[in-house]
Amino acid sequence: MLLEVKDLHVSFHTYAGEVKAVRGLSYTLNKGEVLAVVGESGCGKSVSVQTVLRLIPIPPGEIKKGEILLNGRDVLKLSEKEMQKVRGNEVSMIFQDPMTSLNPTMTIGRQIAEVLTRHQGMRRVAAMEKAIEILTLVEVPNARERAHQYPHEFSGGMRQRVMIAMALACSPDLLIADEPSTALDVTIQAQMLDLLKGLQKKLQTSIILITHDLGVVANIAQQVMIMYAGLAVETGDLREVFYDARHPYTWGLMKSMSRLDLNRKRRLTPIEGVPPDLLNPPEGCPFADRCDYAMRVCREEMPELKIVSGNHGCACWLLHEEAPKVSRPELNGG
Amino acid sequence: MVRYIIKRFLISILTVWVVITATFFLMNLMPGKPYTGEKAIPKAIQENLNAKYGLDQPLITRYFIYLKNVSRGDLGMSMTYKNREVSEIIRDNFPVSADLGIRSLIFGVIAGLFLGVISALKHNRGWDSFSMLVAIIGVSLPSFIIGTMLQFGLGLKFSAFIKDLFNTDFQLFPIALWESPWHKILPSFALGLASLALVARLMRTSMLDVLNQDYIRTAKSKGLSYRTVVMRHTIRNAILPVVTILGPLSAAVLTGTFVVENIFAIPGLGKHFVQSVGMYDYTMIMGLTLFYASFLIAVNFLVDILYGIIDPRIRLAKGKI
Repeated sequence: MLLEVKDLHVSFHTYAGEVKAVRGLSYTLNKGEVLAVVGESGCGKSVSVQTVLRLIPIPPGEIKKGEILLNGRDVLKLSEKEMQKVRGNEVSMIFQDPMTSLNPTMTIGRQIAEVLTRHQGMRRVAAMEKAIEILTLVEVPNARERAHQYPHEFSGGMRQRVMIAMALACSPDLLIADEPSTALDVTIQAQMLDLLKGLQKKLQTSIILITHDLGVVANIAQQVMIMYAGLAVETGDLREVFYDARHPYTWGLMKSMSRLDLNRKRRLTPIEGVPPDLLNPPEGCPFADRCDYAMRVCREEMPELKIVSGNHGCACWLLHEEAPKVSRPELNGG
Repeated sequence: MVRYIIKRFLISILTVWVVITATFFLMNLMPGKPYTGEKAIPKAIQENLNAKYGLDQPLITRYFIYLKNVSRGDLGMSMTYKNREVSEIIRDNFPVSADLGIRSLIFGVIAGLFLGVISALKHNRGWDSFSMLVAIIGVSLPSFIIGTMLQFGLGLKFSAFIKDLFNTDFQLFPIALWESPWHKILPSFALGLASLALVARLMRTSMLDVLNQDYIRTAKSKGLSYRTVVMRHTIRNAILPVVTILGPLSAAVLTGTFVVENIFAIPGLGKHFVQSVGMYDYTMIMGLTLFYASFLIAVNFLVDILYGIIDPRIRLAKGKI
């Protein structure tokens, strides 16, 4: 077991009050596996993974409760100094927007070499050589020349490759990719995911991939976690979640996904409404207001995450034995 | 780069020419003439003086004569000081002004950067309030008030207190004049406080902006120490706006020396700059304007080059302009 998150609660204190961004999240990740975290914007995906590296600003953020065990060690109990040894070394991160995530006044090579000098005690010249090597690995052409250039001389896709190179420089156990392809155009997105997938196979790094694109998930992940309003509503192996989805929110996500292999005349069905305000999260299931199958109990009490089969868990009252039997809607024949 | 420098140099010459022309004609539009002050001068003497300084020539002719002289580096004789060349007055007095200006600029920029960085890093805490209090005082109080208060508080009262305490004659903060290094403390502080305030506020804003940038989060996620994140990633990017205002700032400090020089009785160039206008000292007005203008152009040029060194995005590609 590489990573085990137990009952994580993260809040942000704002002028309006306490925003409960993550409200009791638990998940695990094995060595060498890819976990995809899927959900709408603002449902706590980024916060929950940034907490693993303790990158959320405190204050206003606060980790209220929970444990994050990385190789058996609780990172929430580490000192800032010890945490710095984890960041970029054991766990590293790729961010959403490669256009703004690189320091504009430092050459690409130095930005990569910096990680190596910091964590592996390499000399600057040696680190630079290694940086060029890694740039070649992430398929940046003319790596030797490019290493001496500045971020503004790179395109968006190339910059994201640089980010990946930087993240992989110290061969971390875990790579967290926070929507790594969202800010890129579609053709580059595909390249980026292929690259990540290839590198994952080669280096056997575990990856947590945040995305709201289910197509991406199917392509790369082994484990899936569907998040909604700071909670995991459905988790499991890729096949289980894709072919045997149990949560109405997962159904909604699948219906809103565009697919090339199906009837083009079919319109995409969006999920009506917006996620609840996490300043005052509802007492019951947060999805109840948008759910076609909501019952009275849904608004009164939050359902527990129930094991459906094997790894597959789902937090929905429909799974209760007294609930009416609802069959899964036709998901484009998927 | 070489082509860029040559081009900038030519543009600078052009700018200087525009300054000369505008000043020359504006100056002659002023009501009154040299040697027409309170004292009535006999007509014959007046004519002699006019002839000596070439004032009997038509305006256009004088303009071209002046251009010709300037191009040979000759700024002419002062019209108020007997037998003193303008360039000689500049040579004698400017070093004092420059000394004062540079001291206060260095003090203002370094202390300002320090306060700005500290207050951004300790945002909304004691240090931040303290720095911004200093900055607000610096922005709102003009140098002549600061100067006078320093003279009274430190120069007079504090020194008297020290004298009583240690029974010595040593003056830690002399009230006026420009002799020992001790004399330079109060005027440099009085003049530098405004730049300190400006730099501190600008640096604070800029630091806060940079600290919220994505690349700072990237730097943190790489496991770099707080020190490295601040020194290598934040300050270097945050300092750019401060570098930009260095040009105008040195202009402000340099022309602002006049007030401080007056209060502290410092024999600088500022006095001549202001007095020459009242005295209709045509050559002096022209000479000093030209001198200050060239100086500022040179400073701005240096700042542009410095900017290119710090920010690679505006560094010029080889051969391109």
